Amino acid sequence: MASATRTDPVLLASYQRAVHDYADLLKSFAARLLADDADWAEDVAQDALLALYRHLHDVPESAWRPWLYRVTRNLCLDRLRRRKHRPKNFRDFADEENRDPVPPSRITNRPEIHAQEEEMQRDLEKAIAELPPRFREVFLLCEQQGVSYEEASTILDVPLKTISTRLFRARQRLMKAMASHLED
Amino acid sequence: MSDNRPTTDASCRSIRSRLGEALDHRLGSPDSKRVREHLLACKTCRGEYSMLTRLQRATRELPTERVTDDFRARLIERIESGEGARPDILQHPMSIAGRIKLFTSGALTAAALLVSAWLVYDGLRTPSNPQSMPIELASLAGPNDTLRPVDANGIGLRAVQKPRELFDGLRAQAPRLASQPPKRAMAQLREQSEALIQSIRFVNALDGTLFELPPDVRTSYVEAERTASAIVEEAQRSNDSRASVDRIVALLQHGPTLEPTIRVTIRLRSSEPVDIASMLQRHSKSMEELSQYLRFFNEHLLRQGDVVAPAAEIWGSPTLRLGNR
Repeated sequence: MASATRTDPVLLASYQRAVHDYADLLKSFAARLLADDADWAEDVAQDALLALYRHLHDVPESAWRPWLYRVTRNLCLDRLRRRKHRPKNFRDFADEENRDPVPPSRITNRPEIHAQEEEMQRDLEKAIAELPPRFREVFLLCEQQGVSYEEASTILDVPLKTISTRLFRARQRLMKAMASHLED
Repeated sequence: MSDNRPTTDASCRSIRSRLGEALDHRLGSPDSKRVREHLLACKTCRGEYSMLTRLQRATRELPTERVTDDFRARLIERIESGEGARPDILQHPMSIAGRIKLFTSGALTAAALLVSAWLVYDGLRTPSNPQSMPIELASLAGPNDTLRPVDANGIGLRAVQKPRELFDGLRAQAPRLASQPPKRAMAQLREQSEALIQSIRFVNALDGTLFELPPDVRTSYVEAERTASAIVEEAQRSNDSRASVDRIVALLQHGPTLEPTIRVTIRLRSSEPVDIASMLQRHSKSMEELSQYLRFFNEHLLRQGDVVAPAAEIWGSPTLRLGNR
């Protein structure tokens, strides 16, 4: 593994900026992918950034963003898989009927938000959490994180057409789930 | 608008399958036009498009999770402890083209890079052992939302060495000036001297904040500035005469000598994020003066491709912003 201690200052400055730019975004992405395991989101974000530091010499700076999202996504999937194999300790990813997927911290302490909007956010978070993982990750990347279809295709290692299809289906499901909020 | 134009279930299905792409501006011109025309004619599809728009807006307005305050400290701790990344998270490695040229950016959360760093260099040489700088110890501290990080070490080094570089260039040129037409020679002398003065003033503006110059270097730069000012005055007084050129050449040949190898130790002082624009503005009596500092910064200290915001944008709210040329 390349040693970052021999990294030039410019690269380290860029890394510093990446930590600043991506820590919150990665945590958000991870929290919504992990749904009721969202407590792990910060650790996941930190693991991803640590991994980037250890691979500064291997990953060109232009690829940092997709690389970070991909590592974050892999970490989340890994955690979800482990949870699936330990149902006594962790609820199965698919078994989401009786849980509130939205951590209270994400929907409270925002007095500036009107109650109606807060309710909409809560329902939207829940609806997103209930999406199948393959739809959820595409939707979060493209719609919530602002990643392009092409970049999402790279991150998830699926064809562009698949991104388009999954995003379409995710939106269809969410519109159905959120109809009462979205209709005129 | 015509809600009465005929639409069919088939055409609606076809259009609805493209609404998301239309929303994301991913349709080509013909498809985009077809969707637009259909929406004008079909209230139902228009309603669905409207829902999609609201869904997108609501999603983008979802709150962002914030990392905890000690996130960076814990990350630094893990980095310093030598903890490795788990190999399994790198499964399915992405195919990545060769490394791109690293950009040298920098607006200035400079001191985030600077804690306890001592830069030592000899003359025009870059640090012989730059990796020994404990930059990473502080590299994650206190970022500023509006600033891009900067290679502050590099800027510090380039700033400090620039006066010597310019002074050497000026002196090296002196013997050749005798054979040039006086007017051209005088113009060159004046331009180079003004650049030298500007470089020294730039260093003075940062001396004591971003770094601290050793007294002997400070003295030598004062003398160099005095010489350069004398050249500018001579150029202003003269009528581009041969005699004036000769006087300047003599001044340069007998003026102060900057040692060919100046050993400079720059002590980077601040442990807090700093903004070089703020420092420069504190030394500027006017926007024009700030503009001169920034011009020097652009021309001599930034890497290719970066450019600092104009003084007019910084004056009064000095936050250094960088863009691309």
